[in-house]
Amino acid sequence: MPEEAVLEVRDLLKTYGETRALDGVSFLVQPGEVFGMLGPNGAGKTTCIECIEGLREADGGAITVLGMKQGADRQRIKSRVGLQLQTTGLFPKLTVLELLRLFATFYPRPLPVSHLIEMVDLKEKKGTRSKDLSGGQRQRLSLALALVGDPELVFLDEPTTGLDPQARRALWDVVGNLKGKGKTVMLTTHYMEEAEQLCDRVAIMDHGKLIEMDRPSALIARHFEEAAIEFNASAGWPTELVSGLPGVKNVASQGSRLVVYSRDVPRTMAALFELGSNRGLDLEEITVRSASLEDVFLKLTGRRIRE
Amino acid sequence: MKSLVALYTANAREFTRDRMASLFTILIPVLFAAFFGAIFGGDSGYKLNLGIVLEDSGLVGQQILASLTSPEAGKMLSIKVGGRDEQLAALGKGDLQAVLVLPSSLSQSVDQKKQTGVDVYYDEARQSSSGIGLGVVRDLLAQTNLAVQGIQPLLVAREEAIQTHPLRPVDFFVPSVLAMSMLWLGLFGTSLPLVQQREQQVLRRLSASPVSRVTLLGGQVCWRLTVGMIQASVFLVIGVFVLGVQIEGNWPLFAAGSVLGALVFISMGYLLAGLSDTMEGAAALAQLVNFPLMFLSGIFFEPSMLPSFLRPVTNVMPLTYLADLFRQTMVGYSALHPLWLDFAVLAGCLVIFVGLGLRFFRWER
Repeated sequence: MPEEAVLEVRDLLKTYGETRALDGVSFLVQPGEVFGMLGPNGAGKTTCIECIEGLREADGGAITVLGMKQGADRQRIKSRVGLQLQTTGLFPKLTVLELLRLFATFYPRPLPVSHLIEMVDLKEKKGTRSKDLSGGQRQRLSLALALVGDPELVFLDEPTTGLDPQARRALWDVVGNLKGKGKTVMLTTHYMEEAEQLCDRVAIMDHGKLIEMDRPSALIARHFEEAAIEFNASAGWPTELVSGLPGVKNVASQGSRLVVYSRDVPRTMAALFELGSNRGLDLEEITVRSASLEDVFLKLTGRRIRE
Repeated sequence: MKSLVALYTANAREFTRDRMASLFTILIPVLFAAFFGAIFGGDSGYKLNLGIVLEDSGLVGQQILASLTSPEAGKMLSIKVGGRDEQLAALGKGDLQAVLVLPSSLSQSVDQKKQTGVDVYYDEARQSSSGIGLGVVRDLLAQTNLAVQGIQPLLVAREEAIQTHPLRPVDFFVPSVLAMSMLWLGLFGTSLPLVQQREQQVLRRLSASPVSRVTLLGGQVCWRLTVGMIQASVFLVIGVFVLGVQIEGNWPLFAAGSVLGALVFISMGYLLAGLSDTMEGAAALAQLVNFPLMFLSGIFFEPSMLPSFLRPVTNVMPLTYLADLFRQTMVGYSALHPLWLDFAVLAGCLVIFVGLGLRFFRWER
């Protein structure tokens, strides 16, 4: 039985001068889903999420949030969603506790502040002024501010950008918790592993368009039945010859590295070693791995996501 | 309502924890008022140091000396009697402003009704003080001339100050600098913090929350209005109990003027914040506004002391009217403009600043 979508975006358009920041973006997000929007910097992710949040005006298209039209119902939508902006401006001289209490007054049914502090693990920092927080603590505080109104739908714009791996994992735990509580989450990221880890579905965005959208595993399966052999090809490996080797389906070049997608790793490896010794080329820094979202992205856009 | 109170508290905390803001709105202005009051004021007033060389041993020399040291003359003059060389050295050092030599032949010449020269030395380099010294000495000699010839002066100046109570410089500075502190509330307490909060995206984050923008602005403005009231009270208390300002005010009008003045400069702060793109730009703009307003609004000196071509400028400065309003309603200082005009000009400024402020205000970069 199809539940009514929490978020419905149709034919979103936004241009800045000559640039088409959003070029006909459409998608649905179902209740309880964690939906990720993946793309390189400048792909239009932030523009898209901010149009949906009502912080920017789209030039065309329609957005329905929790059954309300964005634009006409902006104020009502605001009180039922939670949002974390890409850069969160906080009164620098207010403490964690003071900021949470302030934001709690903005919502009709706020969560208890102590509960939020517990949830984002800032108990020891509750008396600290926001300017004295580390990047990870700040990000967790801004997540707590997004959740203070007990929203049904949460928007997170690059929640872990610039964080160290430990802080990133701590944040993933919080998002995992939200999902466990049945909240709907839409997030943007340019970390593949984040999207794979957190999202039920991802949309890949490039140049203002959604070029693919599905569950991460389905995306990988659709584009790759093969594994990836990666090595340093700066010695001068001839791409045409490599792509003719047995088992090879596709070859992609990523800077100095060559990625060889193979349906039969042992045969391809043997052929690579033979070709190398014939030509006097070394196989440096070789790794073999199964395909990832990163590979899907590379295949679809021809570039790495974090270039 | 709950949000408004919470936002008011947040703004208050942010403001009071920011040393610069508190410094510029309260502490520095108070120090300014005390400092200028002390330089130009105090109870002693200005006295002319006059040196006398008494070579005449006769009656006339004694008479002149007696009239110079009378309590009446003592208000203006500080007399030192000594030898010629010693007195001239003191004049050279600047300890004396003029030296009057009463020659040994003085009494004799007067008795014989013969004209006689009285030497007056002064330092040409110190124009204003020696000018006063020369004037006093000439006046003195004229009086002596009449007296020794036994002529009764027919025209006598009766000096009467028109102030109902004597005003000292500090009585001028305390209300004037209170007005300046409200200007600074607008510049350093409103415009700069707002631009900073816009740059740090604090305003953007707040406006992304469900609270209405009217409430957001309300919290900011109400807190700053409180600062204005604190300024008025602090100046009143320090003025009366520390600086000894004579308060002869009209309290309801002073209170109304404080609210109006604070609102005028707070709204000016919003306008300036809207016109600035960056923190640096806002700081430059604040100085650009600060200096002319400070020096051409009769805060540190009365507009009549300015060169005539600058005097019309003071009439377009809103601060001129607020300072005038405070001087009249706080200490009863003589009016530059009628009180109703002060109120009318400030109300007009408020309307203009609020209108333009709303037009240019931005929540984000």
